[in-house]
Amino acid sequence: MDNNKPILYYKGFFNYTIVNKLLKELFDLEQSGELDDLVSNKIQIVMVEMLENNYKYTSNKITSFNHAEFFPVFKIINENKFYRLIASNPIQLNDVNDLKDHLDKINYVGLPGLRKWYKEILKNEIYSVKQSPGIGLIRIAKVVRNKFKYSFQKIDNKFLYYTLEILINKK
Amino acid sequence: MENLYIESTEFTPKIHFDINNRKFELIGTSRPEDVVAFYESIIYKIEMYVNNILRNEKLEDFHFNLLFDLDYMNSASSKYILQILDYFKKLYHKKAKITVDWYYEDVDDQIFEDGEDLSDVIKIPFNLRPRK
Repeated sequence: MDNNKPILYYKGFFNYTIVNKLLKELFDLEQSGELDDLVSNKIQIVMVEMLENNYKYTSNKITSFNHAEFFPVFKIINENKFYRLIASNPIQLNDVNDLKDHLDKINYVGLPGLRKWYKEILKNEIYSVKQSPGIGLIRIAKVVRNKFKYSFQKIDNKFLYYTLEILINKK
Repeated sequence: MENLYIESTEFTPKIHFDINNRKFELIGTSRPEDVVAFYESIIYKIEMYVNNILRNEKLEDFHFNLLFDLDYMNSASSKYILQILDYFKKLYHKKAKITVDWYYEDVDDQIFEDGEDLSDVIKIPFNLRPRK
């Protein structure tokens, strides 16, 4: 299958209930034989971390947003050799540099470096009140072992539209 | 101190803190909506328990088993699992026998790697056990 038609799609701001609904749709795909267990497990981890990152660290900062064409979108596309997970959402302009640096570092460090970095954050933040927003992205990179593709599109003077694409190999 | 039992839900794990049998179990899926609220009371109880043991028990003879059998956990949960382990680490450092059984489905499973990572962070060896 390689027709770019998403097997899972949602447009709108995310919250815990929406993520649960999407997880149930993912389980249905697994039950119907569309996904094998191990790939489904990886998709679940990546999807939850992508969406939780989205609604915890992005949408709760955005109290009024009227550009419907730039509402958050999440989709999974079944391609020949991998599943492509795409999450897009508006982010505030002043969050972009930190996020971009974090994504570039994830793409640069390689798997041993990712595991070391992940463990350092866990160790340093055992009793911290806030969780580092970047740890979910590092966990995703550990799971998929593919480089991230990302982009930022200008919306207005306050917001950019951030898109993150992640490939999960079928084998 | 009384045992603690919390039934699992679709997105929260079963917790069984069995004080009489010196066993703590965390089983299922860990992705609570409010991860702080879910783990807060559990960790408070563990803190009280560990402090009590440190005051009153001869630790060379003290055994405690922690069992983790997770099919999924989010990154937010890993911090609280580490906090649980960190309290028992105080006993481990005082020569108590603390065993950690960490179950996984498959070596390619992320849960296997999570077990290795958490063991490495907390510096307590885990028994990584394939789920039967």
